[in-house]
Amino acid sequence: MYSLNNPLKLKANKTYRLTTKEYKVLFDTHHVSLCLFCNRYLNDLEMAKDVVQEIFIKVWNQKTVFKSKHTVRSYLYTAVKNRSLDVLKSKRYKSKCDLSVEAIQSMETDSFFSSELVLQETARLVDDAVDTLPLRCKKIIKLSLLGYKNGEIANELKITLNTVKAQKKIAYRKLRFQLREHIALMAHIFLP
Amino acid sequence: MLRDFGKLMELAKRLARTILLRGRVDKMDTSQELNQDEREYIMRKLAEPSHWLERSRLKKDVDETHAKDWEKLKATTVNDSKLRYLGTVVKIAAVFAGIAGCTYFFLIGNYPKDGNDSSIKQESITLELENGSVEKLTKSDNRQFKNSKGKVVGLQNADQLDYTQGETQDGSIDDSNESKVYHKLTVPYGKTFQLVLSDGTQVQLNAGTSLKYPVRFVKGENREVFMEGEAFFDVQKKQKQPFIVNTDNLGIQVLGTQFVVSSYPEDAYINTVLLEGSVGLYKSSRKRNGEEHTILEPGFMGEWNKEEENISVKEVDTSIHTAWTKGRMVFSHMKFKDIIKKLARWYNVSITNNNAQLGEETFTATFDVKIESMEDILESFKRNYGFHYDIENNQINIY
Repeated sequence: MYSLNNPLKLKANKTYRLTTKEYKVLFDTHHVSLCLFCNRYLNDLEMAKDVVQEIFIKVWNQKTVFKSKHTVRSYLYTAVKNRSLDVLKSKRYKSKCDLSVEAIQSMETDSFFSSELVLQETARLVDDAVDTLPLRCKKIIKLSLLGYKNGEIANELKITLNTVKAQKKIAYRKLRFQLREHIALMAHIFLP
Repeated sequence: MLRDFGKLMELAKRLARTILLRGRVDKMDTSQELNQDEREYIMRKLAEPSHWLERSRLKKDVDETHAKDWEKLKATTVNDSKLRYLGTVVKIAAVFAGIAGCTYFFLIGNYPKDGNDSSIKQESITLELENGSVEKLTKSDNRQFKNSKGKVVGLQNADQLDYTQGETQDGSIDDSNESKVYHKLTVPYGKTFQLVLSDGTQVQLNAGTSLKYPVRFVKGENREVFMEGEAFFDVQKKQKQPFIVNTDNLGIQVLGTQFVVSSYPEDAYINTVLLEGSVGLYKSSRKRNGEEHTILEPGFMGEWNKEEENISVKEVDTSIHTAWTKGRMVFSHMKFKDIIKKLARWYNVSITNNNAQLGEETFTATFDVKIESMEDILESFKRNYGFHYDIENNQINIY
């Protein structure tokens, strides 16, 4: 259930199971970032997709019970990490790729996990916010995030410099307006 | 062990906000969450255009298979578990049906069977024709309905019934004859249906609704229809021919506009929500003169209290009242006892609530009928408010 503004207080420590819709939302929200996150370990996107798929099946079949939105996400990322490391250490994978023991050891650290996690989540939130913009604004902001200067954006999109500036203004006004709300919303999607 | 996951998520949020609002990420204080090495690594990555380029390349790849992956996942999880459950139920049901069937055959084998007919009618969409015969409509059908002269007046195209055909084909030859010819469309609980009237007015009928309408509207006369239940009207503009929806003892008169009428017999109110244009509400026993009208403006809802026979007008979020036309249910500060009435219609189940306190509790929630099962929804409510329920066939009891 996706509550707009629930007048009821959530009872402390209540656990809950995912409904079909929540499961779909969970998949839609995290599928891409989990695949990319997994790819940081495996460096093989197709294999990463398989691992993520496997984890999602597990979440459903175990009917894993979660205590909060953080535990859902934390479970997903941790499970993907563990499975990835298992794959890396498996004999079959070892024979195919020549990863040094040190490389695997560095991936096993909490530091690696935390850094990649923060990078993925940051990028996901940025993408989600930019995706809500009108098409033209979106194109301009995407280029701008890639480090393009206004003049370069104008060239690339074959529009005038003034249009770029005007569109950027609109975009930032929209972003500023909805950012707080938007990000808060994304965060609360699993809080009934 | 891992550090606080929530803290890292908060950090990601702060970073995203700073990036989007052109702030300096490297000026942020991250000493709480990260050590020096991690900070340097993350800041470097975020500042590198190549990091974002590489990400968008990979993201595109995953986006392309995203839908397919979901279908695959759904097949092995959601669908599978439902199917397995259904399988058992069907098997058990089959055994019962077998036993019951044999008993029936041996005990009352030659008893005339007519008891089933009404239950079949209940479950299907029906169209009552001018001669009183009742046709069953199946959503996958494409059918033609003809008048007494054999001319096609209505065309069924899957879940839509269209009467504009007759209007365009010929002139005014049959006008006088067909003016008194009415059809009545009835949509049972658990289903919806679309209708296009002869003037091009579109009507979407919600679950548990019936609408009686003339096969053709006559030029120069009011366009009048009769309904019970809930429907969304997008009325074709005709300056000189007001469109009137009669329901219970309320009349709703419009010229050309979009609005929703909800008038279920079990509800205490008839609600009219206006999206566009203007509508007038009046008590149908009175003459339709200007003085008796209550005029609605777009974005407002007229609430007709059936018992007190008066109308109150208030501003509403129209999207809540039209959500059902898109297969969604939105409840905004609605009492549980009213929510279960709607759920019962949508899912064609009967719900008995034995928990009086719960009935008065208000909830705000959105559901998608295509994705969520009745049980999913009950579970959602249960999580918010601890109660028990059991399901037996189509009967749900809440304690």
